[in-house]
Amino acid sequence: MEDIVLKTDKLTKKYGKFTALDSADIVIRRGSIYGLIGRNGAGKTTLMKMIAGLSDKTDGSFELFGRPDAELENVKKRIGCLIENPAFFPNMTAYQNLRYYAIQKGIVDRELINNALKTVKLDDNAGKKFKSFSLGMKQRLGIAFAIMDNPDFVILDEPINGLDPIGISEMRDTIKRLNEEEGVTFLISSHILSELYSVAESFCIIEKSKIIKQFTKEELDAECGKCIEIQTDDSSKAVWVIENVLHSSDYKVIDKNRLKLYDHLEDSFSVNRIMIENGINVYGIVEKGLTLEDYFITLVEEVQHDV
Amino acid sequence: MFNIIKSDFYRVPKCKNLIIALIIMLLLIGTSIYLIEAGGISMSVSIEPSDVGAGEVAEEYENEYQYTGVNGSMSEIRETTKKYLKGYELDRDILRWNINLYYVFIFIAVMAVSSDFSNGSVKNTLSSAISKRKYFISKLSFVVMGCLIFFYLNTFIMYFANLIVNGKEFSAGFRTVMEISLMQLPVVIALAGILNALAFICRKTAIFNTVAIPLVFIAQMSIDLLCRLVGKNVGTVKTENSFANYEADRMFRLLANNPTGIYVARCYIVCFAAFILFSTVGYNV
Repeated sequence: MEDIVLKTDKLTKKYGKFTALDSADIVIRRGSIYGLIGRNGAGKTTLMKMIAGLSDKTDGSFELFGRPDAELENVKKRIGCLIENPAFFPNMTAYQNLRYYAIQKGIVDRELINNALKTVKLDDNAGKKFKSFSLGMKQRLGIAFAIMDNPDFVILDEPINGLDPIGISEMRDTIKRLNEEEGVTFLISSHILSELYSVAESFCIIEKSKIIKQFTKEELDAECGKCIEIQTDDSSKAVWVIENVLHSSDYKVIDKNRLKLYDHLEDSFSVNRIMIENGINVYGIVEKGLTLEDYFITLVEEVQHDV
Repeated sequence: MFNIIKSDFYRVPKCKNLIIALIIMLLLIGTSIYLIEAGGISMSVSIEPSDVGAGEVAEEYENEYQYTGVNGSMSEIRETTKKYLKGYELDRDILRWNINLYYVFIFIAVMAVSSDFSNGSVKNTLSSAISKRKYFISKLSFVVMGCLIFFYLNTFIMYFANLIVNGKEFSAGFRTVMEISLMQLPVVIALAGILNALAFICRKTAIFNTVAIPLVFIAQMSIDLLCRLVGKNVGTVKTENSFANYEADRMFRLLANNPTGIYVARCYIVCFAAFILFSTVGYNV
């Protein structure tokens, strides 16, 4: 029934004449980790803010746990958020800050506060004032706040900002553990795409307020993961060899002299030999693979080129 | 909504501002009672016979003051004042000066609302606990409650401290003090509503303070200007007075001075209108 956690339908946000988010359509399934990718000001935070109820939509709609956005208040307790920078009361300790929000959320069990602090490894600093925290510690407290009451859906905006390498690794493990063990669904935005790639299963690229691409990790791997790029005098002849000799249909023709083969990745030497045996002039054969970052840059450049 | 108010009652007592507000309030009460002069700050004599309810002694007191001079020690001034102003209802007069509490109320609005906006922690509440509408109502309720707590704390401490330090002859009596405080209640609630709305409009503490602190003076000046303009047009002094009497400071003063039923009713209407108007604006910002 509640297989879909979030579904947006042409969700739009305008500030006067400026469109911050234009007709966004995304679907997030229960138990998934969804990564939002985009440059600064692309509209990621705007989308998150609208879902969290921090900003009103201009047009469109969304459903959270099957409930329309008009009934958002009824499901707010099922979501945890860390949007933009973590903001707490500077003169209160980490524990007091979480206790304050626990009272607001109606959480009676104080052990949940301690557990959240333990999860983000802040239990030793629970009595320290927020103003004395480093950026990384503040970020971790923000995440503790988001996961404090065991939410079903967690929205994290740049959660690894300011974290040291060990902190990033711990954060990745925490997100994965919560997702795998407790089935928590995540919507995460990050500029560190290698990190996002390592945790997320689905991705959405936003550029200039519009969603330009949505894909799964498998699709990404297929499209820009490892491949053998073959440079030849005639791609069409090479395609015939791939289909009839190598018996593969997993390829992509880039232009009349270049094509990508996603099969036989471990055996590029044999591929080269078979091509030559079949009368194909091979000028070059290299193993290639785009990272998520490369893919994002390519897509953004394409959009800019189109504009 | 109840949880938001509850959480503010957990957080606000941890603020240093609360201690400062309490100290200011106690200082005002303390100086007023020790110097037997409402307002508590000024050493000048500004007692109007009609106000103190002891007209015949006030003139004599003024003469004596000229003899003793303001250069006398505080205890000398106090003894002279006590000698000549018997029957002066100090507690009633202090209640007339309750506009001073406005500055204490500012602290409450800062602690409850502005700090939430300044720290950005408001988004934590709005994203996971409550709607904007309920958030506004919760904060309004808390500010009103906070102001009422301070108002009655001030009233009780002032009454009993005056009784202990100056004795019965300087008191209007518990019943009168309670009656006056009840009559002034709508003014306190209206001020709380105005400050809460301003905190939502200004958001940042610095901006809020810049607007809220001089607000009383600005309101007084504006109403004075309006009265003069209208008074000039109509050509009567009476119109000028009637307008001016519905400014917060004047309402506090007049409501403590045996007001007429019509005046009390009008004050309530003005306060209610101000509360609704500002709250509506504050909510919609």
